[in-house]
Amino acid sequence: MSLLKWCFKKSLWVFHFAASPCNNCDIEILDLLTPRWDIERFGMKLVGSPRHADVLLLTGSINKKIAPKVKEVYEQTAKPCIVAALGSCGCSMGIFDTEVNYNRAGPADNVIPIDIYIPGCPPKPEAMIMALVKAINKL
Amino acid sequence: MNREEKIEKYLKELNEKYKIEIYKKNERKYYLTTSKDTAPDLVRFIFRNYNARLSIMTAIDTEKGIEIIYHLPLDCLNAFFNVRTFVDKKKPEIESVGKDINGANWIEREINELFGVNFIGHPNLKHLLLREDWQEGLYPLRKDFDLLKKGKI
Amino acid sequence: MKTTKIPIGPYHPLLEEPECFTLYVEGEKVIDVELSVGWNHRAIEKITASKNYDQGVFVVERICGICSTSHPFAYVQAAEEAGNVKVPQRAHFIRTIIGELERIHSHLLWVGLAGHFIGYNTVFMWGWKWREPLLELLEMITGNRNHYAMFKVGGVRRDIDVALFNEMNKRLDVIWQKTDMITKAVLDDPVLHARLKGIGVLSKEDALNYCVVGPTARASGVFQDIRYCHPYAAYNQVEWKVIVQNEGDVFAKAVVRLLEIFESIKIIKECLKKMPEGEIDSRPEKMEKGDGIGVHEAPRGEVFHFIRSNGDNVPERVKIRAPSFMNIPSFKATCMGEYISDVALITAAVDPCYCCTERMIKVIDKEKNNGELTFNDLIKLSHNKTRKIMEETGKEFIKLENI
Repeated sequence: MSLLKWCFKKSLWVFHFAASPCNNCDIEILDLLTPRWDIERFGMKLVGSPRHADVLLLTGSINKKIAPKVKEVYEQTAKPCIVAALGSCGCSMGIFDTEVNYNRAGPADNVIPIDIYIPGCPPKPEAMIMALVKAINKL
Repeated sequence: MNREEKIEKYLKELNEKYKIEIYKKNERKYYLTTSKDTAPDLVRFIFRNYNARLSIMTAIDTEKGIEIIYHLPLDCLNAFFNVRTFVDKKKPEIESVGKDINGANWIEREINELFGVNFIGHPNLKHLLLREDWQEGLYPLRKDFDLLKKGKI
Repeated sequence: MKTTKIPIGPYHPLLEEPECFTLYVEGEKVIDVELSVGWNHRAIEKITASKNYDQGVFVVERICGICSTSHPFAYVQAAEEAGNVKVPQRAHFIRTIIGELERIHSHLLWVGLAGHFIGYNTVFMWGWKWREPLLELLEMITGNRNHYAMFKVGGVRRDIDVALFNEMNKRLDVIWQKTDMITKAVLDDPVLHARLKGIGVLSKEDALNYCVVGPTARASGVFQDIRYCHPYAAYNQVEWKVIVQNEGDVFAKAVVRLLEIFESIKIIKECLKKMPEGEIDSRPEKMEKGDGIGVHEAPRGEVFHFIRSNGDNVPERVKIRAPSFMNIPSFKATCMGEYISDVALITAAVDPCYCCTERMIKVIDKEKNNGELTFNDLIKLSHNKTRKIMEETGKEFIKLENI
């Protein structure tokens, strides 16, 4: 297998950023670190800078104010990286996808290219782990 | 003096001091309508003298103008005194209470950018929620926004 | 003296929400704070005014994930007052139970985050570990760990099966035990005292002027609790205390939140005992014209909803104000004169929920004009301060046994 695929096989470092979220998905992501699910046993951890990340986890329905920052962070991330859109808001703007929303700039794939979509409101931690496993297997 | 007597006393005092119209919605909610020149004074008086707190200000786009309601809960008396006033849509401005009550600062900034009401004397009336380069004159929560925005944003 | 301006944000890895504040510092001390919000503004007031009352509850629930039930609680009360809708007694009790379960989970969440900021990662892990039985319980009752969808105008959507009462009592007893242990450990630890006492003091005068709400106000000696001062649902039918502290510092805020968990457990147990039989939904068919105000004491403070109904199925105007909107501006009063290493903790002590506020940190060096710290850097500064204090006092990390 290629060097790239080998690098992404395990111990993915995740940079989580929230663009206009309701915070629920973010809480469930932090839940993954806690003793019940404990993704750190797979070597996965949350990092503090996009430059150290293998996976970019994007939550929230993006609004006009934060869309330029999302692009900036994507450009700063070391390529290659996997970009995952988490939650109904990340995949399709969910309940905020109406004409009446004057501040909309999403969904996430309008702003940056997305590789993985994880739907749910919020997606349960088990669903998130399954999504990452599926993604790794596909690589 | 029990709760009802105290509220009666306060309302009587306000009626004598300011020109207001009192509407009692139920045992706990009182709406005091007044002109836009007296409203900020009335709010400051209730805030300082009756141990009230400024919860929030609501702005509504109506036919009579932009209605501004100051919601003042009296926590010790289980009551809300809501001061209502109208500002003219063509020149929407009213004196700010944000210069005396710090809690009103952000509230007035929000109403200013979403409805276009100018608060005279506010220390820092710039955008709070919307982008800095949001188009001037386009106020999202006004009724005519949907018509005006076509093609502009 | 040289002033430094340090920009932080709008991303910081731990608080999960984008916010941007600019701190002006001279040496190590903060002399001014500028806040920039709006990164979360999703036009919710406009969206709810275009959906009918039943749909509106779902939109309003998604304002915030942590205080997910607080917004529907206030929304349905506002709609019921505006439209003159009655609510059966059993629904009041169920609403109270769900509201208090949410308060426990939110406060435990805060305890975990505060522990992480100080450098006690074990407190973070344990606080969040003991949220899990609670979230499982909520899943048993409502069907989801968060975003419960229990509220509707006129009552609640689902009943709580009497077969679950035993399970609820058992789990609440366990949470009482574990919270008791964490509380005692926090209240006794000298390093935590040195780290949290006297930091970020909000005086009673400032608390009244900034109109702060919730534990932030109660920690500064202001007797204010919507459940007591403007009673609603079943809160005036059960016995419980309002927790008030007078010092106004971060320690006082932590104590208020920890002790409130016990009061919440008491309320839930009493509600389970006193729950009356009957309908859970009054099935309203028509809304009258009028204005309605709904308030609820969310874990962070007073949530305020105002609804104007014109008799239609869709509200004419919905005004929503979350508690953090009033609490966050108080950073100006609490951060001034404090050290940068304490800023992370002071901002977290208010338990800000930016997604509710709708809603980014920069620390600026006036002379250099190029300093840039991420929030992660601020947290590291905070951890370093804790380490220093531990070395000075000769104490180790707090011992949480058998948790």
